[in-house]
Amino acid sequence: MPLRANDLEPDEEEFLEKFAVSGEAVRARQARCPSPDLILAARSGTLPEETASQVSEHLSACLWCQTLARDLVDAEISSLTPEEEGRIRGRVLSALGERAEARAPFPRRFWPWLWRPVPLATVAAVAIAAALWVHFRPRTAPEPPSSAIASRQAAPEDPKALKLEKLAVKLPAAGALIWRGEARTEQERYAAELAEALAPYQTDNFPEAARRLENLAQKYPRAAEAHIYLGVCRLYLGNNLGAIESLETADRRASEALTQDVSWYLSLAYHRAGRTELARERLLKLCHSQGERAARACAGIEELSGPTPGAPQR
Amino acid sequence: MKKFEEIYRKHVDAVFRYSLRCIGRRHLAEEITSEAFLALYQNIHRIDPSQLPGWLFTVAKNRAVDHWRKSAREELCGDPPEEPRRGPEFRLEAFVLESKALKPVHRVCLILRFVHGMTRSEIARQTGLSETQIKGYLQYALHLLRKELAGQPSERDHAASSE
Repeated sequence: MPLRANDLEPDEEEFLEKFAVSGEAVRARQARCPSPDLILAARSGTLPEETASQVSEHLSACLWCQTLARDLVDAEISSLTPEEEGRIRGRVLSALGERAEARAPFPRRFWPWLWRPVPLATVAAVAIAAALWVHFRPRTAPEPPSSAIASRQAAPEDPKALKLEKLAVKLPAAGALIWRGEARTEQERYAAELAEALAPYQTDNFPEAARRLENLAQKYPRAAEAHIYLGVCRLYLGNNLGAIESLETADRRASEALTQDVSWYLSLAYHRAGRTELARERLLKLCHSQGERAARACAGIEELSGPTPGAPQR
Repeated sequence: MKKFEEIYRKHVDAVFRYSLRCIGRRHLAEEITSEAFLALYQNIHRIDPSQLPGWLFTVAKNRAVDHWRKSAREELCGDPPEEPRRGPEFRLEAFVLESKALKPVHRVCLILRFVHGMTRSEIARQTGLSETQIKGYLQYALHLLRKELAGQPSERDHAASSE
């Protein structure tokens, strides 16, 4: 297992130089050591018999692996980190939300499929859980609207058809995902972090949601979802130019399933920023599409500037 | 739900650590831990609290067994190496494995880095430490080794004298 030379710090290079002879000798001897995960699991009783036997035999004679096996279970290394706990909690909550959706149409034979790590499916489950929470939460005195929502309500100039409403949390089709080795782990990580970032969004805490989504968008610049929801948050916060920036970014990355949503919110942002022609252009495309936003897009165009010739009659 | 939340808070760390010992990889240990608690949720009305966390450990262990059974592993390891009771490699081994000044976390970083040839990000995934922490632990460990070596004949001297 040769060290990657361009990854070495100066003190590591010095160490290797000092121990050049013995370092090479150790690595040559240890080249056939089992991987750390096998070393760790060797005494757990979970390995298949043949594997366990091989690894145990090696461990009984290899001081380096014995040391590693002992040290890897040290509390400082094996304890749960806050980030890991957050991801576990997110997974559990997502799955519980999925179960609470008792009307799920999946037949029993699909339940095993749901157990597999399907990264963005967990985000869909968070949406269901959030929808259930919003519906069943205790009805107390209504919360005063946040300043962002208040300002939205106070803006009378939005045409009725172009009224700003929150984009429901939803996912692109699973087929849009590309699962490839380590990318799968990154997809899972992204899905869990997206779910966490959208938690304040679900309760209309747009400033906090925007903050989290900004960080997420920087961390995963190729992912469309973070940019879309950030754009929606910025619309609610009255940051129309920021919303345009986010939504235009999302537009370049969005899958087919999200394109219509992006176009819709982008047209709202253009309209609010006074770029009426760009808004109308987007709405026209939507109006002529087959999607669920088509009707409202047509109505929006009509309200902005009268009926558009050629628009489908609904 | 409140009862489940309490049980979760009380046992999640222990279940994770147990899962890690069963599966060897942190991201898989996260999955197994989640699955164990979801299984608990399904059966919470049937489980006596005195059975916890053992019940959770059993679920985690079963999941790990399933994983190992499914994962195809080629040649896992070669013959155990001969013990170097002579030779230059013995000095390195003595310093790293027997130094009282090194804590387990230092040794893990050293072994994974210089014996298993892992990058800092790979070590981070294996240990849950951040790359910054790993860099710091490695620097400190090397500093301790340098101190121990001070006053001892260098390895080059040793190699030259034995030719």
